Amino acid sequence: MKKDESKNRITLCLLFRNRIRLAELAEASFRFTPKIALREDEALFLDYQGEPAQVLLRIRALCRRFGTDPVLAWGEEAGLALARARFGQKLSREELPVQALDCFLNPFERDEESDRTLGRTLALLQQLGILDFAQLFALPQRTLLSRFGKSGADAVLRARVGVPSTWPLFQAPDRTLERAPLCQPDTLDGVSDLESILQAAHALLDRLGARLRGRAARAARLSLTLELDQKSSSGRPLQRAWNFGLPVPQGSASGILPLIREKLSAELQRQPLVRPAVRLQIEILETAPGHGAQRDFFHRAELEAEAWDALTGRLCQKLGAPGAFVAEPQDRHLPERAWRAVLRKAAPDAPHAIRSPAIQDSAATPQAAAPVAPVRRPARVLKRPVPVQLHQRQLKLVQDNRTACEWQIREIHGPERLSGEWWDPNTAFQRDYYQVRTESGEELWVFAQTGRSGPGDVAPTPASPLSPEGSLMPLQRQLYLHGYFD
Amino acid sequence: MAYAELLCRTHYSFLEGASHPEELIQQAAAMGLRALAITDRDGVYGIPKAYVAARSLPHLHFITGATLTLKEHPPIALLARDRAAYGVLCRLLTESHRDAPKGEAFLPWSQFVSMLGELPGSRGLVALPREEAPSLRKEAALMRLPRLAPHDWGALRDLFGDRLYLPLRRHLDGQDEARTRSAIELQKRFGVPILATNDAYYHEPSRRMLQDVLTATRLNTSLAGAGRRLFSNGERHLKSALEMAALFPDLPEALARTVEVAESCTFSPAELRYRYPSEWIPGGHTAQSWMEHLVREGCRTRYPDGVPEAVERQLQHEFQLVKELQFADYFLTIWEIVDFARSRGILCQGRGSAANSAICYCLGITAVDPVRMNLLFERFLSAERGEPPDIDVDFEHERREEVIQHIYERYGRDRAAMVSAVITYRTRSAIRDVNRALGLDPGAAETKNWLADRLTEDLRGFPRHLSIHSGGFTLSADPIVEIVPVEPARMEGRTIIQWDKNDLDALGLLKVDILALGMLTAIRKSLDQIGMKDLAAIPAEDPATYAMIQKADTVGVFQIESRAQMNMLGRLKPRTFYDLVIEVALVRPGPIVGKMVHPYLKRRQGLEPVDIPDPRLDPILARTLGVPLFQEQVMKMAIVLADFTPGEADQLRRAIGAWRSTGSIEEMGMKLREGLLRNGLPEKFVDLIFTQIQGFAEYGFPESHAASFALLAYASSWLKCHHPAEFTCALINSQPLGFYSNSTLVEDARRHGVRVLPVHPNHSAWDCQLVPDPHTEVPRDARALQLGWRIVRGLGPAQVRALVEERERAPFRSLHDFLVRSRLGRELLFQLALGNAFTCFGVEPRQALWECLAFDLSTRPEPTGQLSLFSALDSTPDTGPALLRASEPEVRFREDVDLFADYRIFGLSTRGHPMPLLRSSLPRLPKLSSAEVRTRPNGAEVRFAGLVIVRQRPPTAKGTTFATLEDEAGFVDLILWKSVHEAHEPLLQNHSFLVVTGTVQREGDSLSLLVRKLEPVFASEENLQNLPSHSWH
Repeated sequence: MKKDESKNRITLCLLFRNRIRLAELAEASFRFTPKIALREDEALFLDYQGEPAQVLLRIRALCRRFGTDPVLAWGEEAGLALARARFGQKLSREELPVQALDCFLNPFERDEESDRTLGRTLALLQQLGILDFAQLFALPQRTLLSRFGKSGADAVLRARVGVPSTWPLFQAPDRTLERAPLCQPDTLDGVSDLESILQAAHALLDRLGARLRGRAARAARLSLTLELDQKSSSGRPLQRAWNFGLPVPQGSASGILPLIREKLSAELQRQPLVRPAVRLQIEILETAPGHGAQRDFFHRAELEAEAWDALTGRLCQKLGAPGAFVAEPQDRHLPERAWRAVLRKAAPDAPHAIRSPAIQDSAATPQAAAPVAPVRRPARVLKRPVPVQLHQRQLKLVQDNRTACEWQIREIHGPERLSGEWWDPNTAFQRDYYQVRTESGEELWVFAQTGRSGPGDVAPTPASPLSPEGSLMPLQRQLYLHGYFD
Repeated sequence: MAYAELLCRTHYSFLEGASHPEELIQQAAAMGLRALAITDRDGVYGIPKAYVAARSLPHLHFITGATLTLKEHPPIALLARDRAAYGVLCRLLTESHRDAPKGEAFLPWSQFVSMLGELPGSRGLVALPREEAPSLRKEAALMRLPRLAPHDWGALRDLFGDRLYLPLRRHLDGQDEARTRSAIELQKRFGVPILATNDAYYHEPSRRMLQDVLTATRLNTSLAGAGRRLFSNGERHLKSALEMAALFPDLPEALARTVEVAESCTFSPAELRYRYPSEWIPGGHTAQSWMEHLVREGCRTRYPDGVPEAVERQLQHEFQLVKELQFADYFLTIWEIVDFARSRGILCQGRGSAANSAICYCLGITAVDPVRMNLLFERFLSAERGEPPDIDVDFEHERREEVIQHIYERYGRDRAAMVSAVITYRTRSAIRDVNRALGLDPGAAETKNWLADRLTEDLRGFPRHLSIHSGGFTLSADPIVEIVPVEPARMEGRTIIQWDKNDLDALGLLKVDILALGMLTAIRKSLDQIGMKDLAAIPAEDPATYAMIQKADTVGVFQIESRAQMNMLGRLKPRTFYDLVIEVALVRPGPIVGKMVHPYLKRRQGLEPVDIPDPRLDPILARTLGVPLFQEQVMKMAIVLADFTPGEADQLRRAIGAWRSTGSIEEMGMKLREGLLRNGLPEKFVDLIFTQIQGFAEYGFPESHAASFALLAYASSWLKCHHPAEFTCALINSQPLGFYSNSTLVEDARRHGVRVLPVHPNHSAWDCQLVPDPHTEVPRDARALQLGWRIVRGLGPAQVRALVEERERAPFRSLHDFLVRSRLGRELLFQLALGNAFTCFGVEPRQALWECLAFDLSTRPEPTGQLSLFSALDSTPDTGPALLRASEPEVRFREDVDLFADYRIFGLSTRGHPMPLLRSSLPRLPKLSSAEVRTRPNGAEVRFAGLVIVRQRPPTAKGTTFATLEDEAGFVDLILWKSVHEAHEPLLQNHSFLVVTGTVQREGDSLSLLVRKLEPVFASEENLQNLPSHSWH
């Protein structure tokens, strides 16, 4: 194989020995390239630019998810890739046997008429002792038509110069669903236990996840259907079905499976299966846009994002929508407004996005990402600052006339003077913030109001926290606890 | 405890700093700071103003610096220790602007290093590397400026040695500790001493709001949108030593170091000694002797019969003063420029106070004899003033560029640059930007709340950017880039200094105003046509000219053609040149507010006695009949009768000029009053003087300036009187200038017997010309005014050049020939057809239009040819389609259609004024012409119809509106009281033809109609576009 082939645009060919439903695999392959074609259920072609070695690894991993192990080859055009997949991945164009001619005539489609014609051509070639392309290409071109007819001559031309064929448009399946039979390993009867169902569900979710990833999407709502081994009076198989709305869209089985487990566990406990389940079907009913790095199968960021989604999804399910949210940084100095709660980034046209009135959906009020603050901020910020009292080196939080909390101050850093939003009387502020380290090892974020909120008001320059005398915040100002550094 | 603030930006760090330089200086002094350094971004724009403010504050040491934006490196503030270092700073700043887009600056690091290595004065620069503010980091990111990495300190230390300091600020922004740690580490590692600073952006905390608004404006967003790009607190104001000590208790040496650095910076802008260019002084001469030599040569021209004694005395006085003040080079510089212009035949004349100088007169810079005019030299130059004189020279506006290029070529770009003008926030722009910042409607005409009000008030007067002063140049013998940085102007090929004219005055630097005056172009063109050499060839005191002026027949004449001036002419009736000087000066807000006009006129008309309360005032006030009309007269009174020295008198004049803005004239005014009373003048007269002085504050003319302008008024009057064809031709060819449209000028010329020929395909050039009159009934040598192609709307010089080239091959034989060879677009052809331009081919306009349409269709066939024909018709005046839809193309247009078509296309008509046609076709119109109106007695009620050519509402008129109607016989002036104007305002604004009912008001030969009622001539004037009129408010 010529080395420079790897630098050009190439066609990858996946040749399947056993006929499988290629459409789903092709859909999952969108993550590598938008240009995909099928040859019925026999081969899958991908138009690719880049190092073939890297992508082939990923394709093979993807194929394993779909339970298949095709022959992989590539070439400058689809015909050459198919020919190599059939006859030898490492063969050069000239080394291919003449039987490979039909690969070049129409790699994307079987044509019986052409096959018959080509068959006659091949027979003739064999009679002539021409066994490979090198010998074939040595024939005078002007004699090809008279010898082999139009199809034959066309095939030879395509094989010789690598004329690319027109790619047929591949359409992804309308429905995103996967099915699998459920059976006991020894009896082949159906299954009634949750673990078996979940094991099968895992495999289906893996494939579904791969397919969604191909479309840069995540699952937002899905249905799980168990087909039982008993038919109803109408003759249809009995079913049990559940719908799952995911509080945070998920792109992988690891995010979805725990939710299914939890729900099915409760449901089946409440109402066990009357009959064993013989088939499992999972269908994705609603999707949301996926993560930016989602196209890269092994990208670390994608794995992290999926894990994050899984965690937040579970928290949301446990705590309810307002209880768990993502704090999105906002570009403001005022600490209370320097973040806002975001549930999830729903697609603008998603009809069933969960919306909480207490929580803004970032899609509804998009805002530019805030620059990273250079100053350290507490990991936990109270929604409302609470007054605290300072007495000598003790800080006390008093609630309902009793000390709810007290800290012995070890050292103080600051102040950081924050003031601004003077144009809005509702949010104008002027505060001196201090980082208070306690004897117990905690670090508190405490502030003092500095005079009125007028921007022209001059707050006294506080004693430097670095002064040799040490520093204490001025006693005469009311202090507030605003957060904790963890 | 002492502290000096060494990093501070004024509002000349455009849209960053939030205080005027003066405010910062005042505040620093009030706080007791030892010193203040101004370190604006990429310029020394604010240095002169800061310096002037600091001059009166001896305890505050003012330091000159700037912040240099570097490529591939964070910015560095540089302070100038000495004069040489300041020169290097200016060069660095100049280079940083050279290749950057307008309004930006950056110097590549490598160039910065090499310049510091090569320029000897660089050893006097103190370097203070700066951090970038968060709001500027976006720009920094765009310019890919990294943060200052440790290894750069090494490079800086190599460059600056012990002149490098590490400024440390503590803004309580949560990064003070980290910043301090980093600074201490750098200090240890590189031995760079830490220096405390507050890096101030404004002078007091209340300006924080404005600084935020400026940031939001710079980022083109609202305050809310600016987010954390605004500063997180308001600590960036000037802080006192005590406040800084509270911030730096652990680093007292960092504070002390500020004072050490400040004390090492001894440069003052007062050291900017200036050498005027002087390379043309021949060997054996000094500037003074050469100037005197040239003056003597000039005297031979000016006084061919010998220099009068008074002139000689004046010259000696001026020579002495010029020598004392060392300004000879300045006069020679101006002389050289004027001499160049004269050598190229470019008409030029000094204006303003320069006309007070006999030196200027004899050098040919000005054209008015100051001794004969009894003008006051100290108005122009005095020892007490302490600044160079200011000479403005007008040049022909079409040839001014030659003079500018001469200056650049002669002096080079490093010694000549134009003066900048600072474009500042006016009320409207301030409201817009404040509203936008606050998230309000930026298009709103006013502010909505007290906060916006306050911010708008603060923002007004803030600089937005630099522009070019209209004609101000600064020239220097030494490279100007060592005195002040030079940067590219927006206009191609122009460079400007970073200071405006006030800054130059403050620092005693030379400025020359190279101004453009359209009338000089027109006069020169007239003189060329007549075959006269220059203005001096025009006979003086011509009676016929004054007779014409007295009749207010002054359309097109310089300075005395406005309706107000014409009105005055009828009353004042100038008989001599000095009368013209008074005429020019009298119709100004100054004399009007000072209540000088009526007393003067009454005395002139003999209606009241000329009352001069003291014979010592005779030489001063006699020529203005006892009424002080000029600043110089007040100055002379102060000298003669209030014991002022000439210099003090000039200071009095300046105080008068500043009265309007400051509202006070206490000190000098009191001295004048006391002096006049002490010398026996009646109190009533002294009170009157003060009333009149207030008028001067409202823009009075200096007498010398009025005299210069009167000279041009006389010259243009003489030309009009004796050579109306040449004069009108020159006026039209010099447009735009003056008060009136081409139409009025042509009508006026026709009333003076000039025959005007329409645009002719085979005869017209771009410009109008005088050609032999083709009509047989006129004298053989008579000339007619052939209108040029320039009056055709939409036709450009390039097209005309092509046309003329084509016809030089062979004249156009027919309309078809013209259509084929002219290659003009169809819209222009249609216009010319309708505008009677093709009658020379024997083709009437309608026929011409058909031929043009047919030609257009045949050469540019379109599928919708039929539609395009009618769409073409629709694009012509609406009478076109109506007439063309009639049966035969041979039918002529109506005469009024022709005439209005002329106006639409050419802005005038050679067929005559529309009014006679309208009177004949509209029976309801009054039949009175303007000539007949002018015969009516005072108080008579008349009804008159005319074309509105002027609408004016001067601010001093208290709501009264003035207008002028024109007909074929001349003009009638209208006066509309406020109530009448309000009742008829839409009519007056939207209609060009009006019927007026009013009462005749006469004063001398001046006549106006006091309007009672206005009516329209046409219900709608939709189709009457492009009729000439002016509206000034």
